[in-house]
Order: sequence, then structure tokens, then C-alpha cells
Amino acid sequence: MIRAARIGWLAVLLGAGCASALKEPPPIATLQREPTGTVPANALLQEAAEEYEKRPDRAAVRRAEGLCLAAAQADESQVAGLVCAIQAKSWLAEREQDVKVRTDLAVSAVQAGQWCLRREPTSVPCKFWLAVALGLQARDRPTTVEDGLKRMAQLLREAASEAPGFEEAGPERVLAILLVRAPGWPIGPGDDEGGLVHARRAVELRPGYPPNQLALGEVLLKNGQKAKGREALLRAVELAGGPPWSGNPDVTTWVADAQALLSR
Amino acid sequence: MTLSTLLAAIALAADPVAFVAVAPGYPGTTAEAQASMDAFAAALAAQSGLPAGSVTAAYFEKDRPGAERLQKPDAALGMVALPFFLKEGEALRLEPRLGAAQKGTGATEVWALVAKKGRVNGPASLDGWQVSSVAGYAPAFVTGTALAGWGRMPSTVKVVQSSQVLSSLRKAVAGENVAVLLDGAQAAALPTLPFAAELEVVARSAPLPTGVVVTVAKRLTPERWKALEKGLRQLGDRPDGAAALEAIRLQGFVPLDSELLAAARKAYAGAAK
Repeated sequence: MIRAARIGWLAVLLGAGCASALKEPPPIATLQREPTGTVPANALLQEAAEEYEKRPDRAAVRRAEGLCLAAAQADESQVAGLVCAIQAKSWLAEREQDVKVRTDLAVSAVQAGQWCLRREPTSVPCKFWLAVALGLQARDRPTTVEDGLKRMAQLLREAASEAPGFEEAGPERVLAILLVRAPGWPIGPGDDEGGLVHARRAVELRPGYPPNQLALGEVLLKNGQKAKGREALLRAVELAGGPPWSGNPDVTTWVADAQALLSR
Repeated sequence: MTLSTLLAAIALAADPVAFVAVAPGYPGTTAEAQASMDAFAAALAAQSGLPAGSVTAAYFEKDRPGAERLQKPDAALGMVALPFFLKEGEALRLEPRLGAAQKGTGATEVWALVAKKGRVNGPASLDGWQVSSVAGYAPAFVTGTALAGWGRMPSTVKVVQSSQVLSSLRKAVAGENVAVLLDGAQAAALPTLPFAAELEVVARSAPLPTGVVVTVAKRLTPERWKALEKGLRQLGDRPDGAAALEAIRLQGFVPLDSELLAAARKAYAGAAK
């Protein structure tokens, strides 16, 4: 239902503590916001998708988050509800200014990701979205950076290997951004040259997806390739303005991110 | 309240003290580290018995901005990497006070010069080479302090500053004329690299202080330093202090090994001539 969009979350800190990024998650029922009675999971997921499409309406995304969690509880055999809950929480956390609210969203997204992998240990969507949630958590919980970013890199590598095209080459794209924003070796997984390999792979897989060009642009700039970086960023803006992306709810964010990088 | 207690209280309630941390080449930026530094400052003030807000803290990952910040009137206390201390200590009037014990390595560390296996068998092998290091902003630290015991480097060696350690190591493995001086944490992690078998440590430094806590240009009154020293030494005793230390990868603050520091200074001065 939801495309991996922005990845402007990654914590890159002076240092990174070593607290475990994963703790025993509370029951899913405690993550849920409102009771939804006996509505079937599929109906809840459909309604969640409709609410999420109303981005950038935050209240709608909040409703989507609750509906996704309700779906996860209504059908404990599937991961779709948990996956969409993490997506909605991630979208909200990326745009939240209040640190406490943002941290709560990130931590609960990690918890949903843990449940997701418990239900389906080989699920690529669970791996990918847990990775994204770990990045969000690291931003506001510095002690989880070291462990969290290493786990994040591992989950993304697995997802990229198992389903390279998932979320428009999401695992390669997010891995590229992780590698250029994270602290470098030996503290963290940061590796500018490695980031370039993954950004290029994301573009090879899905050249027409604006965030892939955006990621490539950022990574090229970080590697000192200014002209090529600008070229990729301009390409991202161009793609965002045309079909099929111009109507995407996140298109203004993509363009704003590209403009910010171009103005550096 | 006696007169002396009153004077001490007035001294302790003076203008805020800025704690300036300078670690050129290490991860993060001033803005990204600010939350961790704010937590550190708050815990330090509390542990020192100073009013809330009486200590501020900032981090700099580049030498020039760090040096500029240390010149401002409120910058009375700092924590700097050893190469920075050796290079800028005299000009900035930095007085060494305590050692900073880094998580994983402790209060001292051994730097290691790494090259592709079989290519370097002494300083002369580096004729025309590039030596890359996070400490490259202080070339005399690289050629003098860290590698003082190895022998004299050829004058054709070019020391470069780089925090892209993996990139430099890959160049070495690829056969370029590049050697890399690793700090203690990097040297300890060397075996974890997938291409570690193609590299070898060709020289090691003597144990050197990891980080140095300094007072700056006598801007702190003795009473205030006494309070802050106690606060720094005991910072890990309180939960918020322990968390603040953890967030900036420190075990804590310990007495400085003055003999090691003196030897490092002597070697630096000799190489910087």
C-alpha cells in the first residue's frame, strides 16, 4: 500500500552507545490505539490504505496507523497489518518536531517490526521496515545507535539480496543512505564508497523512481562527485514532476529534499 | 554563611562555562552531537554542584572551528584529541588536567601504521608515499609522536587528513602507495575487515593518552575548576552522568599520565621543527 519514501531520519552522532536497539516488545494489543470491534483484518487494511493516501494529512495517517494495528490484532497469522503500521509510524516520526512524540513513534515502530519478524521470520517487508524503524529510533536514542545501525545494515542487506525490487529498490536505496550518513568504521557501518555501490544499484533496478535518483545524488555529493550528484538530483526533480509520480502524496517532500541538496 | 562560603558560592554561580570537545576527523557534526552534549553539560553541572545551565557543551569534528570556539571568552574547559592538543595547546593556552578514558580503548591507546602486506619494511619504504590518518591535520603527530620509535620518515612522505579510513585502506590493498595510521579503536577493529588478511601492521606507537581534558587560558577560577574536576571524576556515579558518558563513548575521566604526555610533547616538538 505504501511506498518507501523519505529517508531523512538517520542519526549521525558524535558517538554511539552500545545499548541493545531491540528490547522485549510489549503485546501488540498495547500498541493499538482504538478498539475496532469485529471488523475483518482485510477491511481494516483497506480502510488504512485509504487513510494513508490522504498524506500529508497527519490525522489521517494517525488513523491509518491505528487501523493497521487493529488489523494486526484481528489476524495474528499475517504481517500486513504490522508492516503498514510501521510505515505509518515512520511517516509520522519523520515529520514530528516533538522529540518525545517522535521517540515514542520510533520505539513503537521498532516493537511492531519485532512482532512482524516473530510472525514471519523470513519476511522481506518485515526486515525492511524494521530496518527503517531502527534508523528512526537511533535519531533520538543515541545509546541505540551502535547496535541499531549495525542491525539495520544487516536487515537491509538481507532484504536487498532476497527481494531487490521491493519498495522500488528500497533496500538498496536505504542502505546507500545509511552508509553515507552513519558513523564510519569501526564505530558504525558508514562507508561512503559502499554507499555509492548501493545507490547505483537502486538506480539500475528502478531508474524512474525519484527517491532513487535523490539518494544517488546525495551519495555522489558525499563522494565528492558534485557535477554527477547535481545531475542525479535534477533528474529526481524532473521525474517527480511527471507521470506517474507527480500525483504522489510525497512528491513535494522529494522535491524539497532535492532542492536542499542542490543548494548545498 | 561565612565570608569564604559566600565567596565560593558567588564564584560558582558566575557566567556559564563552555565545555568544548574537539575531535577532528571523528564522526558527527556540531549540530548532530548537540543533544548528547547538552545532556553531558547538564549532568556535569549537577554532579559538580553547580546551578542548572551553568555549563554548556559543544562538539567540533574539525580542527579549525574547534580552535576558533576555544578562543571565545566563555570557553574555559575542554576535551581534545591528543594530536589537536599537541598542535594547538600552546597557542590556545590549553592546560592538561585529566585524561579522557574512551570506551573500548581506555585512557591510553596505541596507534598502528598499516600497509599492504609485504610492501613496507621500514620508514625508507615510504619514500614518496602518502600516509593517511584521522590525525593528518597534525603531521608532526603522525611522523613524530606516533611513529617516533620506528625511525625517521623520508621527507617525501605526504601526510594527509582523512576520516575515510576504509577508503584509504582499500587503496592500500589495491596497491597504491598508501599507508594508514590507525588510532587504537581502529587498530583493534582491523581484524574484522574482510580484506584484513591483505594488510599488516608495520609499526606501533608507544601508549599515548587518548583524550585530554584541558582548562583554557586560565579562564576558570580555582574554585570552579575544583568543583568541575570533582564533577568530571564522579560523573559516572549518577545515572544521568553515566548515560551522558555512554552517549559520547567515554568510560569516564581519570588522572592524566603526565609522563606519557611529556614524552608525546617532546616527540611532537622534535618533529614539528
